[in-house]
Amino acid sequence: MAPAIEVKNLTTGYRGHTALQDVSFSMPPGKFLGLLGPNGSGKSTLIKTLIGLLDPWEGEVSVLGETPRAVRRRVGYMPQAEDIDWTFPATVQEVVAMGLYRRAFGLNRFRRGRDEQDRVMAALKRLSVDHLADRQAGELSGGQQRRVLCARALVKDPDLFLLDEPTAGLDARSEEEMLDLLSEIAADGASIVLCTHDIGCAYERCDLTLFLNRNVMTYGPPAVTITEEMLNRTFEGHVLVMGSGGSRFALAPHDHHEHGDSHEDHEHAQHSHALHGHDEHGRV
Amino acid sequence: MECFTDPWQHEFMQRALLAGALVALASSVVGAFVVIKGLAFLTDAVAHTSLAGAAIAFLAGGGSVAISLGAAVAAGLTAVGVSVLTRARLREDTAIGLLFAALFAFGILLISRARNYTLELSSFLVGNILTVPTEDIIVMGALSAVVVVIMLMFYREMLFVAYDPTMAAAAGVPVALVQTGLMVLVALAAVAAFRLVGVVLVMAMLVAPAATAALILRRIPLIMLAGAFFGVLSVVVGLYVSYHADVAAGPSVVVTSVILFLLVFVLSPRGLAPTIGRVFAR
Repeated sequence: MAPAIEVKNLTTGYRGHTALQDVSFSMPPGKFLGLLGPNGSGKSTLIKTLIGLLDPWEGEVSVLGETPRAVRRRVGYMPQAEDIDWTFPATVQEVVAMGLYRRAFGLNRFRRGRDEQDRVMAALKRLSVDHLADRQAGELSGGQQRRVLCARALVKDPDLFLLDEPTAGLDARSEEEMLDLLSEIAADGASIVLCTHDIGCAYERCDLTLFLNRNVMTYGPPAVTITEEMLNRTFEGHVLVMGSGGSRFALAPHDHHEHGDSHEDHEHAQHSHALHGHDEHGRV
Repeated sequence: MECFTDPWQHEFMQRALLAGALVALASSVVGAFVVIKGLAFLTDAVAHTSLAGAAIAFLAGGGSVAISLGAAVAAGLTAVGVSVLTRARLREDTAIGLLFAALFAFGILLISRARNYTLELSSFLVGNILTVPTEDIIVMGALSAVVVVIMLMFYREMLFVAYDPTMAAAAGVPVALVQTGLMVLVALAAVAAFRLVGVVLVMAMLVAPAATAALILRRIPLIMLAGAFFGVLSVVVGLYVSYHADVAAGPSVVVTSVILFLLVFVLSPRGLAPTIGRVFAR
């Protein structure tokens, strides 16, 4: 079986700005990988390369044994909720149905998959938001909106699932539920890449962790890779490691999103949330 | 009763109504996206730049079909030009503003060579719906049909790209093509509308009915349908007012459409009046 992801000497970026330099790693299928790194470390760039939105300047990227563009139907992607314009009038069902988009020509354009509606509802049910199917996505709470985006990525039963901070801004219970679901999907055999700032979550949930800061700092099982030294090197000293009752905690500051300054309202809400005692923490 | 039926005895009023209804249909179908994606400035620009194409066809001695085609070509090129310039790292409003000013000025410059300059210019600027020839109605019908059919065929792509271009690109939708295509549809609808209300007021036809519909509805297909309804209503009422008050038809239709918007804005369940009522009820 081909590796879920095989990246060899990847260098890429945007308009002359290098975001990733000589990145190499291989991810076996069926694993749950946590992608960790500070802002501007290239996490989102790596994800964009894996879904074929960015081309490598140098090096090679293969996903499920093929080029990213050739396997886009087998790859689910969940963007950061802040990247979505929630004022746009679209119902939850419409948003999730976008996940089933496939190119069609001629009369095939009008032949909707007969099971489309069923699949959309099944995905919504899996995230326990099926009762919201006819609501406007913009009217939902932040947690519900993330579930809808997750359902949209899930609806086509992807073999590889890429999630960009799916739990940012969620309360502890919703976060647990979403992570439980991801663990369940991984147990079913799909491969998952989870972009996160939550070191604790990566430690508890992931089979593999990859620390990224323009290149691969370290890669391996969390018990091996998550060390005080690695946290300091990756986050460049912006992680506070504390001892408490025999175990140790790393407090990683919530860093800013990599996508620039848009959607300030959402960001503002998130920042104040983070500042008031919801900093990610994890055992070291 | 007669004051209601009387205007429609005249053939020119019937033709004006037919033309207006065709334009309202195309306008509301693209208008929904114009309102939701904030493309009003682009709409205004393509309407104005269509003047350059219309002027070239007019000076070359072309009839109304040629004038509409010229306008469509100029407006379409503007739409494509804005799309290309924006991708070349120019801010969208800057790109629109540059093409808007350049081509509109060029259009007026060309028309200024015409013998009865002010007359021709004003018919382009404020429309001449009451004297619209049959060929023009055919052109409007054809443009409206093209706009509606293309929107129906590519609605999924339009919706996906408008909602989430990143994800759409990841799913294999040709995002640049779809975005440019939407702008070209806006241009075609603008050209259909410009013989009705003139280049200056085209934006109102594309924005007002759809904006009115968007006040009360939250599904795009419904906004399109209700927008067409408000558009046709504006044409009917506007023509009545024009007939009885002896005022220019195009501006009368536009003023009606904006008054309709204001009425709905004030009276709709989430509108101004209920909101003020709730504030004072506290």
